[in-house]
Amino acid sequence: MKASPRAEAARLERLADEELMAHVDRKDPHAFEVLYDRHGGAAYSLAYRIVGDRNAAEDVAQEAFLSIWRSNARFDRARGSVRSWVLSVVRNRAIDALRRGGGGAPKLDHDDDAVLEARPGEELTEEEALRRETSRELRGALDSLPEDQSQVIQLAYFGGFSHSEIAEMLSMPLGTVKGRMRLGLEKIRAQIAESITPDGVLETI
Amino acid sequence: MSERPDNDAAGAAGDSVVHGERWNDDLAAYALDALAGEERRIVAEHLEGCEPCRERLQWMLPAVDVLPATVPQRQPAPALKARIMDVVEHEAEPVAEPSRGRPRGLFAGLSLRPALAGIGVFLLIAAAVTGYVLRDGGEEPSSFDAVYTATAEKPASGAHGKLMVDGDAGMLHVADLPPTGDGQVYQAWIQDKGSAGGSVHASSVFVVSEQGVGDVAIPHGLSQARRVMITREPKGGSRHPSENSLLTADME
Ligand SMILES: [Zn+2]
Repeated sequence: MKASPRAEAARLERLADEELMAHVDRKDPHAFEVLYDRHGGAAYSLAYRIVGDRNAAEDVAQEAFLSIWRSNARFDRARGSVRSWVLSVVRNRAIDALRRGGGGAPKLDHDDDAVLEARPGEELTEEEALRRETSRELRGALDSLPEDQSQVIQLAYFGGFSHSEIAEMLSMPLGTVKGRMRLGLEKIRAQIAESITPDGVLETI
Repeated sequence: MSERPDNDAAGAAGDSVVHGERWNDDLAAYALDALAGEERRIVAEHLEGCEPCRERLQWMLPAVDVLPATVPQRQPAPALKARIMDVVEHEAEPVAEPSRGRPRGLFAGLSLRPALAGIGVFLLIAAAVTGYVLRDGGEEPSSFDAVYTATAEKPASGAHGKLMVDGDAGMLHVADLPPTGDGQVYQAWIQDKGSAGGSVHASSVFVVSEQGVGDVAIPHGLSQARRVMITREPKGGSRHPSENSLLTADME
């Protein structure tokens, strides 16, 4: 006979992301729910960082997850982990939303958010606490970059600006922006070297 | 493997340094999605034919993948998950209830097959419309167990409709409902029979034509229903109705 719904749910929760995706591809809503539970928080957080508004961030996360559910976005193992892939779908949607909305000034500092994140007395699940801890550590890695490198990386990734737009914005020669992007990425890459699997996939987030 | 004259990476060490100087900055900008149009195309094309640059990009990508994790982590509202899962459960093939019989007769063709499930709610509506036309085209109206009239809660609105029930499934045909704006849909709700009002369940979402006409399949839940109601909801539908019923079919 069929496993009970509870046993089935427990089984899905134990699957690795890549195996879970096989069930999502077969339109299993329970598998999709597990996928959302694992990555929904990170997806929403990224969307919020880009669009800077709670409602818009929810819309972006909803569009992104539904496009994954409807297989408009296909998971490609060659491109990294399921999480990185989900977040790249979210990032693309968020940048689209930013451009549709005419875009405000890019949001460059995140001190206000950091205060909110450190709110005391909040009940967090173990997984949630880990996610926030990892985020703080990684933000440290980004913050330890020279300001001019971190700035161009953030403008491109979170602001959706091209290198020539950034050059114009910061009154810099064209080649300089790309050079800073490369130096910055190389430094981040060196700092996270131990979190990367032999096949080049970022592991810990 | 090199087809372009500048694909000299397989040469001596000095050549590969020169090659790196030519491409590495571009690869970083490419990894960050910071190249536009023509520049982006040139790099993509070069990557096709250059293994060292592909490896270099592959090496660099984790530094980009890590960026989302550097943002302050927030908890989305539970309502977000509810909205997403509502759509997902709606569009999923009904695997969760294998013992329940498929809708009979006319509605058999309306259940979501896996191949269709991915295409979403709007195809379901298209199928519903087709089904309705088929019925007009030849099926006996007597294939329904019952037909109920749907009336507007505000008679001035002029909206009206007909609910055709076939076992646990049904079809609602509506007319003179104003088209929803962008980002909105109509949603059907089923209220159960029950002493204390009866609980309300979310059912299909749908849109109407410019003329205000629409057809929506109700895949299940009608055998225990007291009434079917229609509200206007945000795109994707809601878990709970966000306004009073605009159009109601009383089944008692
Ligand atoms: Zn190359």
